Amino acid sequence: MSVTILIPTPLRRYVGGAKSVEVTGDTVEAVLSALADKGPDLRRQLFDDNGRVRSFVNVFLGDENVRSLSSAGQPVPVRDGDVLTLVPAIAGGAPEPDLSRDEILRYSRHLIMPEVTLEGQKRLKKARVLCIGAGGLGSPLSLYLAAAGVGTLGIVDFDVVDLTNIQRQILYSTADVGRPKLEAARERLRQLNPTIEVVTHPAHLSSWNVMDLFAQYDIIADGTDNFPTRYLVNDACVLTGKPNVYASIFRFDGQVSVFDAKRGPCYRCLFPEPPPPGLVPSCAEGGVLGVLPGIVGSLQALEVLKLILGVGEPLIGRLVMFDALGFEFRELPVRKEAACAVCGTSPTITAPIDYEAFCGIRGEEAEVDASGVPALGVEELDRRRKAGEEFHLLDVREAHEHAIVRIPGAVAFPLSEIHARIHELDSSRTYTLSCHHGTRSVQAYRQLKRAGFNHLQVLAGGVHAWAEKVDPSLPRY
Amino acid sequence: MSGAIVRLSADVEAEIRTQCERAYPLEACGAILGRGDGESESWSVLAIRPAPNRHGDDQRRRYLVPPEFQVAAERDARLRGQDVIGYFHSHPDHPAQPSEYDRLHAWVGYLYAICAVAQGRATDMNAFALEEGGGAFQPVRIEKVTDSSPLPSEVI
Repeated sequence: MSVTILIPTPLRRYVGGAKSVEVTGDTVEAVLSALADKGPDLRRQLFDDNGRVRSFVNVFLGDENVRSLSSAGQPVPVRDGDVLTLVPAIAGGAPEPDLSRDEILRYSRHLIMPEVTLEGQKRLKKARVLCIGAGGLGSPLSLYLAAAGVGTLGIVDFDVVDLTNIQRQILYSTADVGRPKLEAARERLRQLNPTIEVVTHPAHLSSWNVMDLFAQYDIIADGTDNFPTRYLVNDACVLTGKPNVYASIFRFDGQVSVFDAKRGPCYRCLFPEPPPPGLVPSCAEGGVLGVLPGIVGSLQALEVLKLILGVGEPLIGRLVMFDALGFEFRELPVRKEAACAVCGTSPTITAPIDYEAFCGIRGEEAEVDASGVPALGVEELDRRRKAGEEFHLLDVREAHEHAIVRIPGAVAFPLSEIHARIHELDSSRTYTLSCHHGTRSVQAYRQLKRAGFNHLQVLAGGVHAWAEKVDPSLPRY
Repeated sequence: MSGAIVRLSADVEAEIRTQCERAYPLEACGAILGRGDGESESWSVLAIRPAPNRHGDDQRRRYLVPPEFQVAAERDARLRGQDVIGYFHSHPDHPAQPSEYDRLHAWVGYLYAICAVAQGRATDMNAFALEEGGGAFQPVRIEKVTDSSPLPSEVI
């Protein structure tokens, strides 16, 4: 049998520069051996000491790899006119990251643990983690991940440090107020650990940029405070196959889980749809105990490190709920839902959708529908007050908020007490309803309207707008 | 091998960079088609063929070109009157210098182009060839040419 062997460029030097060689033989092995007879150097390239074709040389008979044709080492027959192609295995890559002398000292408490070791620390160094949000959760999360030596830490945020952040967002100091969060965060994290890379993404996470961004990372850690972003992060994690280490906080309660659709449920399996707009207040509206994000964000960091190191039992398929007041951790099993719209057996969501429309709200904080509600501006109220005109201003915030700051002349009339105290009001009067930002006053408006009060209006922007535009000496919160 | 040289046009270079950026943070890899060989220490790159990275372990630091792809690339080159003269790959967030792992897996006679990709942007690109005996890589100077087919066609 005469067979043509196509010679790749690195081996041509052994056959006088020929691109192909004609040899005879009945089997692939015999043909290759005949080729190897052309010189001892070529034999060394093709065969190992035991006379077997080297593992890094692939031989193709036509389009078939001879290794897949040969069963149990049986010779593979050839026919007259067959073409054999020699294919040298091509592989390589960048060097493994080595730990410097300083890094070995820095991470020594990791390195001595059998669950981490030098190997695990190198894995941390290679890891790329994206933190969504640099706020209450993002602070302890990014600080601990940076300290632990996660090599590339991405952060998405677009906010500026506000004085109200400092009570819990320990990434920032008082001097950072007014600076872009990412600028301050990057500086702080680099001070903490100069050996890592901090990549800042000063952007609103959106359906347009999420897929490209997530593709650059191994693990996504969701520390957002709003539903559109939470569903966006979940869906994009499922679509890009990345684990989503999730945490959320409110007042005294926290939740943590790992949503990895490859191995378990996603956030939508647990909550297929968001709650109605306005039902769940954000931290800005409901408050949060300063230390709570410290605890919950640290648990989130813990789960990220476990995923990278591949140790322990990740919180996949389990939701941990922490009640700080009762000091109780409870665990809830979460099942993967076959009917899940994004990770189920026949998903309806195959690309990011419009999450603001899906969640029925716009922007960061839930807004109530204020259409048809007459509003009064703070400047106009101020003018009437100065002119000595009569006005009846009801402050529908809770009593403890009324104690922080109030508009002169405002009567405390908390939203939660409206039904019990409605008899105190005179339906012939015109009441102006005021709250913190203008959300609860609209809710109060609707309640009073239903109760038969017709002369009502709300104060646009609430006490916040008053302190901002009319009396800047008043505190804001 | 101090005189080793590879001629590379701007458009093929741009294509390599694009492939490397597209694969980031994973390593890109692919075949380099053209003319020339290790013995003359002179190559001309005429085209590339991006390959899927089939490394089973960590594709951010490793690449493996599937052999079936190589067979197809060899055939493609042959039909164009060219050869597979080497392979390119990227080093995501790492300099465009060959690693020890690259050296252990390289073949004398092939041209190796390495493109560094820093945070998703292709930066330096260097070319290398393994010296006789395989002990070390030697740099191959990249000469930028404007025309993508700088060699005169063979005349009988």
